[in-house]
Amino acid sequence: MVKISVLMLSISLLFMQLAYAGSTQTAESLLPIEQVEVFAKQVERYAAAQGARAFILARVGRPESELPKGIKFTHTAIAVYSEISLDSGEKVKGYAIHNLYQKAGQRDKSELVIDYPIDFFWGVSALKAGIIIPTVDVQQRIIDVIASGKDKQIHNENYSVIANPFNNEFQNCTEHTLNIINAGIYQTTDLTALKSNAKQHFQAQRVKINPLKLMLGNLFVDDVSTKDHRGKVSTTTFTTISQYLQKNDLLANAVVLNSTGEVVSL
Amino acid sequence: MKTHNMVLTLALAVTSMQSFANSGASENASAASKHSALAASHGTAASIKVGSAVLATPLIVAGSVGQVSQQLGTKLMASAIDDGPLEITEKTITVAPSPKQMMKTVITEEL
Repeated sequence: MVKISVLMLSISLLFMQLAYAGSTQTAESLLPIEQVEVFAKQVERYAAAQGARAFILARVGRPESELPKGIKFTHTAIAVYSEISLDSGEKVKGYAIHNLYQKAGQRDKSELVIDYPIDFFWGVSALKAGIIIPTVDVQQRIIDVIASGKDKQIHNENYSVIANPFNNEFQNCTEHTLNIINAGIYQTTDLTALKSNAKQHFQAQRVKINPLKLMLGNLFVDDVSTKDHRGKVSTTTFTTISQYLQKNDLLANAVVLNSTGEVVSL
Repeated sequence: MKTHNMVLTLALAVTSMQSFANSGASENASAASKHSALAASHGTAASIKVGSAVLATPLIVAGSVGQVSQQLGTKLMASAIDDGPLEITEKTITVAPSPKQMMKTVITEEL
């Protein structure tokens, strides 16, 4: 009986770690709606004050204590300053967020979805936003990729939360974000070229999870796969994207904004 | 027997943990229920404070670098690139629920 309890506890811990992320559209708000609304608008206003036409945005969808070492955010997307047409016929200005979300009921597949700041932060466990503002040139290239539909060409619907950014076997939200950035920088949607450039210039985040846990996750959790990794597991993260841009002098600003309005460097 | 117990335990753990790992995934009329929640939050002012988006067109700046074209489905902004903070609507914008999502909400309420 003790052995069974230990086994169940171990498996629980395994799935808790592996379920740290996942990019989903959430149905229920965990926080008071008014707080989420105010925060979402704060994020928009901050980016707008910086003059950001396109920026990378991240949220914390799970308690931070559950996140593996080196990972601060659970979902990343690209916000683009847009003219937004409403069903009332009115047109307003704000940020539209371009996401890669897992499909509901089919967690090993993803789709590209546009939503808005309130939707993006709807189910978060903490009102905290990661904001990466690339240089103006890179912002413009990102807008070009999205506006021309090229983001769809570089989307791979086969999803893994720990997707390897150096091949195109699986893809997660952060890898798709990196693909969009690089498609803009290198002016190509050729995934072979994009992956080759990433191998040479991008440093991924090593994911430190016990190999046995990863093996069990690979077998039993739909959106976890190690098939695309040769050796140690590493994946794209919000922070590694920021480091990549900074290293190449393509970063204007990278901060974390919390609900009190405090802005700190990433 | 030990192996049988272990397999049963593993099966139970996977089933329960799958639902744990899936927490947050959208299965039903999430956009419709969110819109309802926002409308309820704003009461009679909902139509003024909340907007349902049907289309978002990226805005680009006239004279910006790169081969930017209006053929890309973008729209030129009137303001120059260094013209102060960008305008942001006071409304809370959310995705408009699809007809399918709206009908799921209606059916649930009627039951």
